[in-house]
Amino acid sequence: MNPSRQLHLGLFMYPGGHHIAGWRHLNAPADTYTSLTYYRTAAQLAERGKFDIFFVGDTLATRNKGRTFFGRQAIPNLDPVSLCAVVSAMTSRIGVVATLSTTYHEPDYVAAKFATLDHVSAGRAGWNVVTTFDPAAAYNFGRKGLLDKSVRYERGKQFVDAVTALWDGWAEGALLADRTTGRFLDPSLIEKPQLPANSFCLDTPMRLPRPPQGWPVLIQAGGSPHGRDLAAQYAEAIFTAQPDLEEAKSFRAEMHKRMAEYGRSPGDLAIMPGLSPVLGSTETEARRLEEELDELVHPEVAMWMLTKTFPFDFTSYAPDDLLPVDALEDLPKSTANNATMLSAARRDRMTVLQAAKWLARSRSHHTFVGTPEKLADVMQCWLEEGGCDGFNVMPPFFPDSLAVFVDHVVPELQRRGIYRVDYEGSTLRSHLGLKTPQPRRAND
Amino acid sequence: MYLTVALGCHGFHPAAWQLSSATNPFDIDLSRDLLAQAERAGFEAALFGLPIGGSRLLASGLVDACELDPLPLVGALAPRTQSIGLGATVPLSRTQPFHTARAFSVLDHLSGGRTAWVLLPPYEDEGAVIEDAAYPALSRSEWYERAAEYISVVIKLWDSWEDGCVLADKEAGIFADSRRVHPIDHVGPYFSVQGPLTAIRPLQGRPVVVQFDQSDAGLKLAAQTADVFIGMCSSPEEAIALREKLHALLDGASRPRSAVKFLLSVWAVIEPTETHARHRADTLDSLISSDLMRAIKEDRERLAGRHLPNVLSGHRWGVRFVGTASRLCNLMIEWSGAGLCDGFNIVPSILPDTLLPLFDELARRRRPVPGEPVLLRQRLGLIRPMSVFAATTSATA
Repeated sequence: MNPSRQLHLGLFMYPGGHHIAGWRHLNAPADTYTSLTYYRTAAQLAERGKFDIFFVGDTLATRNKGRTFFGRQAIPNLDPVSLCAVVSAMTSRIGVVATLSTTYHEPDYVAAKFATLDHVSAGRAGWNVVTTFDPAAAYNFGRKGLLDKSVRYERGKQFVDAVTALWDGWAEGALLADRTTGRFLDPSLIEKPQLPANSFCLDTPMRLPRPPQGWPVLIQAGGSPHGRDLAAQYAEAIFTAQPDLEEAKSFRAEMHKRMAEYGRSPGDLAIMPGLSPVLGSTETEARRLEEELDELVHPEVAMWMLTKTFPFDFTSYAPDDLLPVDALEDLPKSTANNATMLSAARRDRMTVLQAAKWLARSRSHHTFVGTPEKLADVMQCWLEEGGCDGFNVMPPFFPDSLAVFVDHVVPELQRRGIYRVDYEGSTLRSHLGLKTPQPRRAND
Repeated sequence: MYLTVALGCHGFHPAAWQLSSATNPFDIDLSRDLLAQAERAGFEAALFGLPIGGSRLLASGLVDACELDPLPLVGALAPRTQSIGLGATVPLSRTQPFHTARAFSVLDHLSGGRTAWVLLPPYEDEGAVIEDAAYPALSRSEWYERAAEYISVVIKLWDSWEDGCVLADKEAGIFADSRRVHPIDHVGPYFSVQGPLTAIRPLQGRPVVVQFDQSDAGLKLAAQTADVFIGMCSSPEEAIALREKLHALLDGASRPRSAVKFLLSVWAVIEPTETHARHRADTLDSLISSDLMRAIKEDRERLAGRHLPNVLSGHRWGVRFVGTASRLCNLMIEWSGAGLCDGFNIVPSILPDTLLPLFDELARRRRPVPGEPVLLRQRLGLIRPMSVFAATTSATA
């Protein structure tokens, strides 16, 4: 008998928690998002739960209402690479994955950052490759607005090619450190990237030996066709919003098909949908927590979420009016995530405020409300039905909801034999069961 | 007397790796141990990312011209250390002020206010010589203009969240006071940045800005923006002249002279006896083969006109000192006592070997070490600057 497929778990670190009002919860330490303790507690909890990944997302613009800074909901995300470097020092096994935009950086600098993160964490680094869809970010980098999506993704692909080529620049054995001959390096084994079709200018090789993992693990988080194509070619893990099992199964099947076109097999990729666990020792207790959190969503915050999600003028609507579902469906920029929301709104005849709170609660991710045993059932079902390879856990607030998950859901998953009892290796690649990429050389 | 130390690979002599007792310079535990000793010896800060040599040296294969990116390195070292300041360089030519401001903000918070931003002379970092459509070749004066603008944008971004603007008022549902978080709306010849930063103001208000470019343009920039200036002088006379020049520029910029701490850089070979030290220095120089000498010359020619510290025997790294730790300490006391400087930056020829006897000697002499966590700014006797936006808010409130 084959051993059961094993779940992979990521902790999606998000200051304040993933529920938009999580920071207001009685037990949330609201003023400590810049303290070492806050992140140490979360990372060490995740490591105690044998998580594969400590993951940090990115925001390159503050939360505003028009031109004005939105003080009700403006908890900043910490610079991901810096935070991951700090977390690597307070943990010994868990992978550290930082988000970094290909639109607002240069490849040589990114290659060095992640190579460094991989060296200082002894092979635990990963890069979540994003092209940054937030139009507001452009104005912090001298741009007049968002680049066209296809332009962003074309740059993104070339960017990843450039970064991986830089990582590959140092062949095995390049570092000699031979004191008898006085040769520290073998320059013939260090080459600058040879990418004739690449628009980035890469004149010098990286000034660092190849990262311990060969390449830090490449992760992708966009769900659009462009994002999927980038993921099929490069991603070794995907963070995705999949609230529905059937849709998740077809997404996973589609990704495997797309990967085959690039000569890759399903084992080269871990698909990890977001999962926000609202847990209680009974169903009633869990629902009470959900209600408690929902009540903390300030109407202004809910409306802000709604107007950020839909390019639609809600000013003539009162909070208790029915959501104009038809008009919203006709909007040109409707995305897959919004469609899920709109069908829920139509079904439940949501008011504007209710719809806004729905968005504020889940950010279109899968929210589970119930007991740890029931959540383990859901996770097992998704794994066995082929809906995922694991989950990116999004606690509603820190550290309590993470602690409950680690103390009550993790042992249940372990008991069922679908999750590791302890780490077997010490690198992120080993946790995810990924191969070490063979360096591509110019003369191959 | 303030003390900083430059750390990088096997040390600041091109043959250091051949004599160093460290086999893997990327070993983070080694850096941690070294920093623990530096803390006990009372060092105010360690500086990472000072250039060891250009790409020609790397290409020669004869020098350990490799380096970890100093920012994530500082991140990895922050929780492994207690009291020492951690400085990092950033290549201005290849980065955006927004990212730089944000990274330092986070690291400053998570390190308990111990970070320093070390500025390389703007035309000296490797990126500046890469010809690239996105980075058209700038003239030397344009690189300085760009650097000045870069720094001013970073400072405005740090200041964009005023002190005390985070209310974290759970009851009222207000995280931060919107009136005290400001777009910076910067539009300049090189950068256009709207802001505010996606990060709370650093614990130090602004991380300590360290500069060591003593060209005329570099000194002018330092007079406007530096908190610490490291002078590379080979004699007390040179140091006096350089400090006077800096003071005159500070007067002109209407900044108090005490606003910039003036440190002298000392490139050092330190051994238990004078004889051992001289022998060690001779051995280091004897390991410079003719091939290595050629590579050093090529590197220097390629970076012609650039004031890159001379990797050979360290004389561009400042005072060249070969001797015992005790004599170095006496010399430092004598020079700072004579008012030549506010302290010293030690540039070790060989890591960790050069530093070990110095750490022992300083620990013996009981340099004060802060018992409580303290901002690097405070340790260096620098004020914590107000946000430039603080005045505008109180005026309109």
